[in-house]
Amino acid sequence: MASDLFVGTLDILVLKAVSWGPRHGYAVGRWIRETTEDVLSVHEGVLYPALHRLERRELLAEEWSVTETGREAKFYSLTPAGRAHLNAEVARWRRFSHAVSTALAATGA
Amino acid sequence: MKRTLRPSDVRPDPRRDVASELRFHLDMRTQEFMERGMSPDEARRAAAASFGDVAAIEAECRELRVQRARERRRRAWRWDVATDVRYGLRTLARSPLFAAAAVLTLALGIGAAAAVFTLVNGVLLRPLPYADPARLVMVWTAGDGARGRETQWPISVPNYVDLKAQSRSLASVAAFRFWPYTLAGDGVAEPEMLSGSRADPDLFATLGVRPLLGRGFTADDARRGGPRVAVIGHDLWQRRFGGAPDVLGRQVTLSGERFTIVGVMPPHFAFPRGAELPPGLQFRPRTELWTPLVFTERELQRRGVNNLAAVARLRPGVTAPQANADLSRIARHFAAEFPLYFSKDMDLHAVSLKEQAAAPVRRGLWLLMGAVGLVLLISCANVANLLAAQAAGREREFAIRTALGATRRRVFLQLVTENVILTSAGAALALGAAWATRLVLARTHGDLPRVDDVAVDVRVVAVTLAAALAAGVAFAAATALQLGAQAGAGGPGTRATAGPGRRFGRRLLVAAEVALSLVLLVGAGLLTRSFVELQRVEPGFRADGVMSAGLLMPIGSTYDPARDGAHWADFFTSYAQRLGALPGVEAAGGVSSLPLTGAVETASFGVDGQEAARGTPGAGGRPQTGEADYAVVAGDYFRAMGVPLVAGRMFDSRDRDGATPVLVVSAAFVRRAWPGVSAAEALGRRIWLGSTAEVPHTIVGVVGDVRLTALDAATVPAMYMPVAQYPYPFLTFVARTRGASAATVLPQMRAALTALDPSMALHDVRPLGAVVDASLARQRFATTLAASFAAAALVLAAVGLYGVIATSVAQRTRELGVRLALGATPRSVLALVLRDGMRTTAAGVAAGLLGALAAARLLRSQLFGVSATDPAVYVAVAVLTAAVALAATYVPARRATRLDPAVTLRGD
Repeated sequence: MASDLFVGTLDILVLKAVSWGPRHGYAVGRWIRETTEDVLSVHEGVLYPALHRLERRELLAEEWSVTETGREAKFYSLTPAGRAHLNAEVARWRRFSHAVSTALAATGA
Repeated sequence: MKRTLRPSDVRPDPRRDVASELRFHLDMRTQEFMERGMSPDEARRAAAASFGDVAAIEAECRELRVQRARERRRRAWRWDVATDVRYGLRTLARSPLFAAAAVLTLALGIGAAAAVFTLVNGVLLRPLPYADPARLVMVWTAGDGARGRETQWPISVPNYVDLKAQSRSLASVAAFRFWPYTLAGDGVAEPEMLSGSRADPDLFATLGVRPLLGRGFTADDARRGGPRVAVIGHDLWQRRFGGAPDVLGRQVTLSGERFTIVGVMPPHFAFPRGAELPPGLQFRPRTELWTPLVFTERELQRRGVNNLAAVARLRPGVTAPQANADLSRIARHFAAEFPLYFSKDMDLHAVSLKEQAAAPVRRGLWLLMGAVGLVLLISCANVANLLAAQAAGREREFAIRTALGATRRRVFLQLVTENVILTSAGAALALGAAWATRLVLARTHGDLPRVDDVAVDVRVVAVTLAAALAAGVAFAAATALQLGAQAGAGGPGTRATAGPGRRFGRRLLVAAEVALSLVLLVGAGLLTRSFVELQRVEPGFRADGVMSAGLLMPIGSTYDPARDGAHWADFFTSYAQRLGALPGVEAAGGVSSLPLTGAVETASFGVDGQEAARGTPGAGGRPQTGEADYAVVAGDYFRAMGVPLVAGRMFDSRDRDGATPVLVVSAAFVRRAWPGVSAAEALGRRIWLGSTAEVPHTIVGVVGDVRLTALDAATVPAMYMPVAQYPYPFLTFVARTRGASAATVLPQMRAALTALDPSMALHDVRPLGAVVDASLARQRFATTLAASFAAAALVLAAVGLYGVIATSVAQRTRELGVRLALGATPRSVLALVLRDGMRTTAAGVAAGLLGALAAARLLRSQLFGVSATDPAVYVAVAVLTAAVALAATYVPARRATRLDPAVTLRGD
């Protein structure tokens, strides 16, 4: 199912989004929207349960802080466990997509 | 290395956290759309649309936050506990002597308490091992009985039959009576006396216990001339039949008659268990053989002979008061119809079976529990003292932890963990003691009700652990308070001399220990004096040099004194004669209920010629005068026992069946029947007995009073009948030696019996002195326990006092050194330290004496022949306590005098 694929994918994208440093939810959403050419933009609200779930699993750490514009926002950053998880998931995703691409590129039985 | 930092705290309110996070997102998105040229309204709508269902997502996030907070709290708590336990174990391991002393002291205190609670739980609290036991009651005849305050006695056969037919409140009722049987060896084993019970066929159903094998009794079994069947107990099945499943249908010889075994009861079933019923019914601690209760025509007529116990199950929904109202209705019926045997002030009464067992020992057991509670308190005080001494050395550690940011709560929890480790170790040892209680009891005490039900169950474990937990928290609180009090007094690094505040606290603890142990000592002292007084009571007979042995005539299912009585009497009389003729024997005789064994039978009597005076009309003009204990005797019983003849004669060969019925009565009987009449004047007077309606009995002799039921029971009127005129199937024979020890005559007693009938055996063979001792078993048990608790308490208090004074001397080394350097004599230093210890002791003794005066009032009902305020006991205990305290103080005081001033002054 597409939604299942999306949940798993969303987690990797979120982890990737904060892999360069702490970001708040809005920034994470904007990065995903921009880099995935709006694939996710229909319901960016699903981002937040994903963020909370990852935080609960301690793959993300959270901290309230002040943005450049002086507003309070919650920033998420990658924990060591989160970074390890991201690396593993990226490797898995590569293997998976390579396999699927190879299969789809096949020309006959 | 594992994680060393605690998981960080979370924002406490998940609702606000999520809401502000989402608001930030929507605001930023709105701004983004506005930058693309939308109006603020349009932008807000667009932001919301791109977000999705805001409310649903907010709710989902909030739920996640709540779960997360719960998980982290739990994890933080586990993490704290694990750290605290590790830390606590490390701390204890650093001072193993302290840990061992504390654990052992606690094990002593909690262990004693757990052991006694196991007893209390088994005897007073646990449900009885029968189905729906709350609805089981014993039914008794009630009223002002012959024994003064005693108000319950058995039911007569006709009254039982009527009661069973007429009751509306009882779902079922079953009578039973003690019936010993001799199980013949049948060539494979020794003959064995079994403690049996003849019981209404409804007995097992009333108790709600099914046989393990085979069946119980049917109404058909209780028919006169019906089949002779028996049900056996599990132990007997294992012991005599090797647990063979084909035991059903097997024939056994019981007291000379063939019976068929039809059932085996489950393990632990031993109803009636003697110790939970009034002792007068003669039941043994456990019953292991049951036969149907069959009534003869004659028994059905004897309304005045009360010899049946009855257990009943209340109908569902019927309360005890309702049942008693119902029984009273029947009693009034009896009183109207049979005024001769059932007077207006008599009643029928139901007592819960559990209460029946618990009532005689409840007060004693709770007092014991109280005593052991004091021991527990004292051991806790000792441990608190140890902890206080130890905490003094740990101020630095706690100051550092606080400085590093530990909250008060964390420090306190750490202390709780540490102390709970200590107390739990103590509790674990204590549970061992509780478990051992059962083994010790099984070996020593057959007299306590419900001994079988004493076991370590969930309640015992729960209460023990709860006590350990409570003690741990209390210790932690005390230590925390002490540390808190110190915090302001001076930081780490100041010289370690204890402030007066702490010294006072520890002295208060020790004074309390002295006071509590004094309370215990007074209690133990009073019980001991009471026990000594009890042993001094003249029982009315001389026990030394007398051997006693039971002898049971063979009686099968058809108990028929009219048919067999003459044979029993002949046999018993000739056995008594043979015994009396033995060279080593001065006199010998038999009795139906040996004094102080608890065996008692009562009968109502009427004084001949008083009907006019008392104005009781009708029924042959035989008024009822009262109840008296009676015993059937054979041979030279009174001389063998050393019971003095006051007037008249003892029984002799003239008193045979068919001759004028005669009685020997006790002096108390004369006082009761004819106040003011001398023993000599009572001779020749006549008594009507409810049991033999035909002719009055003539008094031919008056003997001295004998303590029949117990040494501390009031003297009761007693009547004795000759076995020739009052057939009785089992007697206890007593033989008085000519100065030799009692046991020497036993082989001759056995040989004499074998000469008469080789198939019969003596049972319950023991010197009369042992019978007297056994009658004091309960008091001896209580006195021994109380004395051990008091001794333990005194030792603990002495150790506590020693500890405090020793610590104090160690802490005052400098001060004492200065005193010595300035010219104080060792003698004056000794006096200084001793005064210090004695002040504490004096305070404890004074408080203890007041406490003991108050507490001894609770003991009053347990005392015999000594007042609860007996000055000798109080003085002796105070002196003993002071002496022990002085000794405990003297050791460290001596050490103080040997201080070298030069060394101590350089010390700090």
